Amino acid sequence: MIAKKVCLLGSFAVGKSSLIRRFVESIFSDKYHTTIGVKIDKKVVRSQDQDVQLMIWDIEGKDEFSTYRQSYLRGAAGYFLVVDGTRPDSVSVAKEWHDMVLQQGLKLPFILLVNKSDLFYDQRLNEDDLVELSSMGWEILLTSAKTGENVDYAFERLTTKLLENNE
Amino acid sequence: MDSQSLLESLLSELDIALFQSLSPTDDFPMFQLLHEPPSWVTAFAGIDRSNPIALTEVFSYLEAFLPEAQESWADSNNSRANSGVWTEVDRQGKTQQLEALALLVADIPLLVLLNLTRNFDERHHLYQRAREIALANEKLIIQLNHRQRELQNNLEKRLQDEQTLDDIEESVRNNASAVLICKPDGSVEIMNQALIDIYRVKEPEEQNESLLDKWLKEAEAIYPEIHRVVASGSYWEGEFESHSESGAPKWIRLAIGPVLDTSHKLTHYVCIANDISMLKKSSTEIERLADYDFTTHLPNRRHFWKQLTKSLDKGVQKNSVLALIYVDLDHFKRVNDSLGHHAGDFLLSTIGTRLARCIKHGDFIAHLGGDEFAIILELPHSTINIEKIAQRVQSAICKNITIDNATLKMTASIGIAMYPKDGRDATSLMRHADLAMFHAKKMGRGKYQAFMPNMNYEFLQMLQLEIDMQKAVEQEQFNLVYQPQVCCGQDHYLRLEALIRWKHPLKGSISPARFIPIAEENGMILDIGIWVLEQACKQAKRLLNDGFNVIMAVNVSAKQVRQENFKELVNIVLKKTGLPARHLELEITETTVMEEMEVVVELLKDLRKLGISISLDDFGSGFSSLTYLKNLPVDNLKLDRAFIHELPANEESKAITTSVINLAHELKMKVIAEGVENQEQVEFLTDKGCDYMQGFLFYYPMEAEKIQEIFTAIRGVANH
Repeated sequence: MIAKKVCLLGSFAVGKSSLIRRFVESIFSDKYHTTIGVKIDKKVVRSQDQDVQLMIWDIEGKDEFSTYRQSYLRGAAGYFLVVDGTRPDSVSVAKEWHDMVLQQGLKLPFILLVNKSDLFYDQRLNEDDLVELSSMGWEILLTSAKTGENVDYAFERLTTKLLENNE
Repeated sequence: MDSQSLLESLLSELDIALFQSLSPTDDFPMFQLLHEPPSWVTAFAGIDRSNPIALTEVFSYLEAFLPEAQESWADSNNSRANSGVWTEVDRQGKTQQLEALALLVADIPLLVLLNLTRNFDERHHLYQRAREIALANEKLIIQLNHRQRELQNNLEKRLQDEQTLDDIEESVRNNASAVLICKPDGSVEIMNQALIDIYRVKEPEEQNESLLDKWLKEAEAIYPEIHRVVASGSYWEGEFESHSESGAPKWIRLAIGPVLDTSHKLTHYVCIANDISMLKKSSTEIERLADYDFTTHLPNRRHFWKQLTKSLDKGVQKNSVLALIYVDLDHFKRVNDSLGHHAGDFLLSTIGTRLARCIKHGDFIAHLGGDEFAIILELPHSTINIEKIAQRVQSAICKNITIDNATLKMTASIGIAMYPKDGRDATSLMRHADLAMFHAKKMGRGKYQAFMPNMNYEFLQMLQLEIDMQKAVEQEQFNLVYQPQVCCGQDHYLRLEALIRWKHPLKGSISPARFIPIAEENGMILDIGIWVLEQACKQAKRLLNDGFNVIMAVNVSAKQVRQENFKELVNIVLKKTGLPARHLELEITETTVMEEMEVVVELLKDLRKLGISISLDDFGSGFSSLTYLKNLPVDNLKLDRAFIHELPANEESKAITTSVINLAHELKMKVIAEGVENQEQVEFLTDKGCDYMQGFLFYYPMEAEKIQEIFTAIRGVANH
């Protein structure tokens, strides 16, 4: 069985840990529990007729308390950029993360997850921003760790992308 | 207890596991535990001190850390690598927080595993609390900014639409935000109840000091440039500590928006304030969080001041040199106005990131608010070429930025002040960097300027001149002089250019080169421009009535051209003075045309439809593009005096002049050479077919009466 490292990157409190918990354990809690450093989870998914063990790196949200380490992305096969649909600033942070990945000389498959899609009436992201990112070739999925919307699909989709990238 | 046992007990007590790397350069190195394994280590794997183990297989996090670890094992200079914290779940399902250190001791490569779980809750609680507050703050700030800007726009629009003050007062009476609308002199027009309640201020008629002035004074401590920004009619927003009538301190977020009438004259300030004390002071975590700007994620103004003071203290101790670079984006308000605040925020964030990449480790960058950034550089010696750094900053800013399908190219005006040369304390250093930036802006934007001591004096002079200029309009201290343009061939028109002069009652004649740029900057050029147009048309009409077939050329500034109703204003003046449009010529500079090409071309077409002719002034002084000329609705080209001055000695000027004359003629335009001062120039220009000449060789600019005499004399000669 092959193993692949994927990272979840984004601002703090956008729901990275919740997405992983929903994917790995099918659990969701509304309570915000901040991540410090890195937490690694594993889950086997089936893609392209083979089992793939995903090593999912939940990386501390970017803010003034966090320290970025090059080791976070070392050996990664792909990553999710996670933003909170109710917080416009989280898009800028995701872009900064993306820039950091590129600066590290990595060209990896990634997907932008616009999380908290269940908070329908609080969505604040500028649609033009997302259209612009999409036109730059960014794949974007609306997700909700709370309802589970697109969560499994997002991981399946990224796994497919990183296997394709491997070929 | 022997020392080995003591050491092992200590390691166990400190939750430390010590490993020696047996094959430090391998991709999967083996590790040997150097003491009895603590229980938390065996909870992950069957580790004992007799069998080496591949730790990266037990802790996959370490695999990614290995290159840093190997680097420190290969380095004999006592370097150590830290993995950062990670969370693992042991075989019993318990989560443990771990951290690894790699170091070389007595040439032995060691890996220290630290278990941080025991005290982790405390750390987690702190981060949790701080982030919850940051999150709440972020959401509140988003809502507050949104509400504040919406209200600001709404009130500005109501004032521009000339709604009655009663109606406007009614609309803000019960608003939760404190609203103050005042005249430029600070006198209150509208003050809502929230302002009175929240800040315990008195009713306007009981005020000793204008509230705007009070705020400006309070804000000045952290925003030394606030007076200049507000006086120049720019939008300002920021946060500072304010005191109510009772002296109670409050943090307020204040926005001051100027309201301009159709002629771009400042009529009111709309001030909106919100009490953000709770956001600022609710806890020590907030104090910490309050150091960063939410838009750019860079240190904010408050953080900047702390850092500047700290850097200066260090500078005193170490006798070192500091550079303060003050960056102000040019025309940022246009982005906000045309693309919205969201685009403005995106732009600030992008530029913030770019600037942060421009500086090296140990330097400091802050977003001071609005369109202002500041960089503190600690320089190893005073001979560092600071201009190179300013150029690097400038080029980082002017790279294209795409927002909402629009590609923007920003520039910035940059001011530089050096410690200790230009100031020994934070306030004077900042004030001098701001002043240098202000001079850079005056030089035409997109420029950088180092502080020079005479700037203080010049700035005061300029301020005085601005005040005097206001009086000059009221007391009619301006007058016009006229300089004839000589026809090289045959023409049935007598051509004149109207030129403004200012006779100051105390300072004597003040050059237009000195006061026109100031009038351009503060918007007074609109009043002055229309006055010039009217006087010149009146004079032209008088000459026409006396039987002289004149064409009167009048200069038009870029600000006038941007007025939406400029065509109507010109039409009104023509009607008022009775001057037929074909006797008026408007001179517009090439730079103005290039800046506002689309707007200007349409305007010029409309003006020509009225019968007015157009001259393109200072042609060749800017980025002349001969290809755009054919699309311009222009009758004459005025060759820049710089080319004429060098004729006929300079081969390049000769070639350019010849080409421009030929091209203009191809395009059915006439050419006017200005600044003609000697016979050789006349001969050359005549030989090349130049149509008109203007300069001291023929006539100095002169009063209207003198013009009358000269034209009468010319007519006398012609009649003979």
